[in-house]
Amino acid sequence: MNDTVTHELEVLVERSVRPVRAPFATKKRMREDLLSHLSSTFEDEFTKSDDETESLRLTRERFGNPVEISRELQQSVPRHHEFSCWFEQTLAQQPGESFLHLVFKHQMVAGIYFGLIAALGLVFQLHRGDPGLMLWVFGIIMIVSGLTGSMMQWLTDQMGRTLLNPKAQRSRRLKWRYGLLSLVIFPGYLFLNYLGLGFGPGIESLTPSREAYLSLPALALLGLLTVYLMGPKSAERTLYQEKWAGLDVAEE
Amino acid sequence: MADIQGDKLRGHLETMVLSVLEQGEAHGLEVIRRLEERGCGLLKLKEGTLYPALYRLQDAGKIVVAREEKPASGRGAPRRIYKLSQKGKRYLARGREEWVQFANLMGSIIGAPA
Repeated sequence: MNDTVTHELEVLVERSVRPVRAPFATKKRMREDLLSHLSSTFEDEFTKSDDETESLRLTRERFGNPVEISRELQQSVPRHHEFSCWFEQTLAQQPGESFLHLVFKHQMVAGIYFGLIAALGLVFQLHRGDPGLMLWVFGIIMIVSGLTGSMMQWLTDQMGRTLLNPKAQRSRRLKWRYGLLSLVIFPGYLFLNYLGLGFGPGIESLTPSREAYLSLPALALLGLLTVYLMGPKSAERTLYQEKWAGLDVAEE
Repeated sequence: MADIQGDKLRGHLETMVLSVLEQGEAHGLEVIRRLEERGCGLLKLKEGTLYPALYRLQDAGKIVVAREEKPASGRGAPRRIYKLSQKGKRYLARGREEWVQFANLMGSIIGAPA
């Protein structure tokens, strides 16, 4: 089976799977299963006819209508998986998505999460008579968390791409650059929070405690290890998504 | 006799898949072959529609992935070999009883005994 046939089969698979709303792992499995099946079907037909074009036509016919298959695949996805699909798509960088859009998505998630906590705090009056300060605290943590989350996501992906492609130009320089950035991510998160909180209503000054300073090396190492260890897996996933998103599945 | 396909198949596909897996574990293409063989060539299943049924059966615990096989060419994704679980066996036995009752009921209503 040559690359042209493989490409045609991949297009057929993607026509069925792309519209399905499901988590990444589920869709990956669907693609693997359908592609494996189509490859076997093609081999089966090619053995009988020895004609590539005819074998492809018969393979498509045996497979069925991709629109119908897509609908049935969607019905096979449990409803709660559709929610985790939304969550996944919101936090992970999608193919072709800009960094700014990623920041916006992370801010939205942080806003919902910390907004809910702040709302609960107001309802149960946990602010001890100073709701303005409580809202300021949650607001600062929300903004810094959203920025840090998106930065971590981007950095992990970029480091992963560099590690997966060690022979690429500038690879060594990029690894150093991303490594240094990863060292400052978590310490930066801590100090940005201190900085922001220090401007809160009724707060005269807020300086990091001794414990905060002592935690810096551990935070730096945590950032570096996270980016280095999770990078390849994150990049593999993004590259996989880019490959399938790049297929032109429009009907001729 | 006309081919059996589409809506006539839809409600029974899962039970049929469990039934062919009772013979032994199989991958998707082999399941299709067994269904067509047992259907004496009258069963016209669009092969892509098998996989949603397999996923539903697996989510329900009625079948499990026995192992994964690498393709003979060495290229491409491995194919999954499915087998019937204990839960699937119980569900199949119940499905057979329900089918016999259904067939007898339909036969007596439409005047065509099963």
